[in-house]
Amino acid sequence: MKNCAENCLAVVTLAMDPDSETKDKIESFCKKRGAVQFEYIIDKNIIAGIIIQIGDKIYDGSVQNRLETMKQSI
Amino acid sequence: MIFEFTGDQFLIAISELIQWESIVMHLIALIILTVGLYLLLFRPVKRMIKERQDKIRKIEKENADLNEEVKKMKESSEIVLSDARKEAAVIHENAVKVANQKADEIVKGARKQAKNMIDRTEQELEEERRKLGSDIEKQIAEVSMAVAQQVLSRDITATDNKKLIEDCLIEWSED
Repeated sequence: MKNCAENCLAVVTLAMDPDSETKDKIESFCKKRGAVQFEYIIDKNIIAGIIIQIGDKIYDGSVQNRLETMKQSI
Repeated sequence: MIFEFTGDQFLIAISELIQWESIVMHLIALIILTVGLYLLLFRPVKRMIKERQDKIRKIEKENADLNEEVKKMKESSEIVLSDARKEAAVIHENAVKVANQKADEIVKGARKQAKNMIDRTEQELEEERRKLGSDIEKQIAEVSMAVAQQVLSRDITATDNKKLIEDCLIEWSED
């Protein structure tokens, strides 16, 4: 299930600082997909949720994305 | 000098006065005169009169022939005129027909053009309406999203955020 070859970086974008429990869960998820290093970015523009980029794969669970999707469907 | 005579004496006197030779001579002269007049005057005059009559008759005949010819020409010209009038009437009728057809065609063409213009205008209006509707929908969506963003960014707590992140991770793990 790895999304990148080896030693790749996972870029995690959040709206607010995660607590340690949440951080562990995020890193566990990323490790399963081959990420070794982690970079956390705080961006209030995503409103809430999380965006994870591992290699060329992006997992977008942000509220902003959902609102955009809803806007498109409207 | 007054002479008194009896009947017999009168006759005798008359017979002495009248000379029969002279009478005969007078008669002969009269005959000669008459014949001469006939030959020299009467006959030429008669001939002349006859010639004139013949000439007049000839002229009258020529006149009659000319009149006949004129009459025939008049008749033929009337026939020609009548044919020309008929032809003119036919030409006029055809021209009117053609003109009416052309007028109908022009009117039809104009109506078709007007209908096309109306259809085109309606299509454009419909297009504009659709575009406007789409723009309005887009604006409504954008405004709604903006409002939703404002509301969510104000109302979402850290707990909500954490729950959201965990739900995402679970969902992605199942894929």
